[in-house]
Amino acid sequence: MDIFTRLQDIVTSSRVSNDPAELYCYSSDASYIKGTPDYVVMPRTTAEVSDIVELAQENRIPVVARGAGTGLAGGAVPLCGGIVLDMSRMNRILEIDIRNLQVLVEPGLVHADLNRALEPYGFFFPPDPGSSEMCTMGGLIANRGSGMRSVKYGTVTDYVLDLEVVMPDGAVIRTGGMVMKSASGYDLTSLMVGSEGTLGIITLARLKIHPLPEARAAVLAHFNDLEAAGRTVPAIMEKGIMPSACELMDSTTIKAVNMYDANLAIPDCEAMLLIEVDGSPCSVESGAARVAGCCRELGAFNVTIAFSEAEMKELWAARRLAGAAVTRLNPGRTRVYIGEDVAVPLSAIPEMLREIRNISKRHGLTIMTYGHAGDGNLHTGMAIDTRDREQWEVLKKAADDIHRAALRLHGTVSGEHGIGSARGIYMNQEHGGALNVMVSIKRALDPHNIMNPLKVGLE
Amino acid sequence: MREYLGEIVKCVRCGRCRTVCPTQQVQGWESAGARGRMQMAMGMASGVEPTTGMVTSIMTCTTCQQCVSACPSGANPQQVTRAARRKLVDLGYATSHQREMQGRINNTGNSLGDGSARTAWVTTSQVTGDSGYVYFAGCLASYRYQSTAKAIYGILEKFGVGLLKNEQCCGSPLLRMGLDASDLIEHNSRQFKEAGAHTIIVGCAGCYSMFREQYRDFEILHFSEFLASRLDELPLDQLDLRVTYHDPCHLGRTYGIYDAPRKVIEKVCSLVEMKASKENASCCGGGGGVRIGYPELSGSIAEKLKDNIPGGVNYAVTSCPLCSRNMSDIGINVLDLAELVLMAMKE
Repeated sequence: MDIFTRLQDIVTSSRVSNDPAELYCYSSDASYIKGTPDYVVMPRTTAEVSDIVELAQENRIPVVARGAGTGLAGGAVPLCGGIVLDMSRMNRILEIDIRNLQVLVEPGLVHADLNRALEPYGFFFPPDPGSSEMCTMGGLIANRGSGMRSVKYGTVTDYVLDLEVVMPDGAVIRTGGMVMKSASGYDLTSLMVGSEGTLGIITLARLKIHPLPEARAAVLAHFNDLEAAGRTVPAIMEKGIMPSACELMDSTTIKAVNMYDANLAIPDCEAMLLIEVDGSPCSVESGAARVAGCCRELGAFNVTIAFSEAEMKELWAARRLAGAAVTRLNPGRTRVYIGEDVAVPLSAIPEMLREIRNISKRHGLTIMTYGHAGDGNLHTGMAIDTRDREQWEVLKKAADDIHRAALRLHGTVSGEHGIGSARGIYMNQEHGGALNVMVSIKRALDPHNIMNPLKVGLE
Repeated sequence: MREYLGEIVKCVRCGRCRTVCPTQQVQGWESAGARGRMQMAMGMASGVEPTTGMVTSIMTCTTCQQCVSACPSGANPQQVTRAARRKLVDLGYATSHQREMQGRINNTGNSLGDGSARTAWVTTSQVTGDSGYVYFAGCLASYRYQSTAKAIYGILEKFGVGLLKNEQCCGSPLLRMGLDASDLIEHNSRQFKEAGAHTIIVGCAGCYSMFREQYRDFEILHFSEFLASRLDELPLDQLDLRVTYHDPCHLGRTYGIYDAPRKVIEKVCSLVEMKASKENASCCGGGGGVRIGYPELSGSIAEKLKDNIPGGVNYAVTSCPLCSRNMSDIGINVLDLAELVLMAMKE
């Protein structure tokens, strides 16, 4: 029996495709990386995933898990063909267990849907990616994502209690449990978080949740000097204030965001910081005032505080989609996600901003910079005419310079988007001998290299 | 499709449209969503030979434009998809339902292929007014929702609004399915001119959108807009009803007509908004040729709309017969805006 028929037997024929049009659609995520699968399968249960992986192992066929295909590094792109598992239909919330401060979800659940479900209980899942409305929990976990609130609340790693994983031989394991902490054995949960589907397929996740803060306020501070905005971030923390979000936008980003939502009318300036504080109404009020004062001390003008939920919602919605909105600046150019996710130590933010500006000048390429300045994660956005080969070359050189600058400043090439195949070449420089350990783990668990091959710089 | 490359490359494949595209929500596959359709269009522009899957992907878009509203990078997948449909038809990939629609309209002048008289619903002797206002009933109201046509014209007649002598389909189904509607546009336009019309009043969102796009010599009003501006002139009672309102995609999201129907409803009864309304309103699944070509998909999209209806309402009111049809088919208690107003009219 051929592979296609056997896949149909596992999941029924309506959930397998080898139609060329479908394969073409699954040949990319939101990055520029391309690779066409041989089959796309939409499993609904762990048993189905296990049977598919077993079939793949038996026939040495690559298996690549995909959530919503919103990844920015090609993590879900099947570079060696094989089977793409579209996990987006395994999207149920199985338990909301407030007493134990946790939820049990399937990996295809969209992030924003989880928070919408938790809101009536007065709880939330704090990691808050810009792609909240479309990315899936499985992808977020497999890429060790985070988002705008990680400055205070940490990354997804801090919230995963237990994962159900289909291993490369089809075996189903649980990596943790319902307990809030455990000192029992190797921490396989942490191993799987961020493994990008190279070690197994996540089919269930038990996640810690957090009570919603009673109050939130957003401080908007405008700067005529980008680096001054960069210096303000560690200065706020030095004063002992821990914002729940601290976002930086440079002048290009501000233009794009204003074009996306004209109501925002952000003043034309070199940089803006959007700093959120949360907690009790009292602490929020005093915290916001202290943040505002600190911003003014460091040269900010037009510093305002937004307390209204509606105003903050609009600001955050625009900020979330800033990355894609850059395409609006010049309709002939498309934003390409490359070199977009470096993170540096907080104290190195001003220097990294200076480096990015120099790289932009050197290559004659406009680079928008925005991101989670509160945790040192800076996103850069570059838009080119994607039909022009020369512009691609310039773009790739600029991205390479950005990655290398971040590493020089003791940073990382990916703060939250993952390595995929876009950043594999930097793994050795960033991790040195530790990369060998990663390779050994991969070989031990997946000796025939069927799980998402050619990713995370392991080969 | 090469001329659309500039529009196609605006898509950064961020996936924002995934969670709003009604066909993707139902079917799940990438090819069933706006992002997939942009990929298909890119393939066509690059000279890829169309396949069955590609044709299905392009033909199943309901043209609801939720992707357009949601797109952060300002792309218009709906416009690209419609262009891709035209191209596929030109290349000889018209589907059987497209050919069927073309045949129905060629043979009968209406999208239902109904051979009976289009004006059978007209009870009045005066079918042409001299006010410069003409009511264009549309195919569905003329043949399947005659009570709606009667209700609308019953009100409009009081204001001296006339009818065309020989109305034919406005061409919306053809245009949205990638087919040529120029003969119909010419036929109807000639008649409007002969009737001395400066303003056309329609009761259907599909017709409204078609007229706004293709009948540029005339002012176009949806019935709800006309009514909202004349409410004080109508003898209306307050009804003891609680209703919700479904924004038709081609009236609301496409042309921003949100307030007029609400103003009319609130004049006669109590209105409770749907969970998602106005620019975020759900699609009924009927448009873009999906109802005729892919009835199962169309019905599944309508089923999802059910979740959007608030509890405790007597009716879901809408202002498009195609929405009415798709919604009532799955058991939603639907009422056209005109019928609601008629209920409230004093004897």
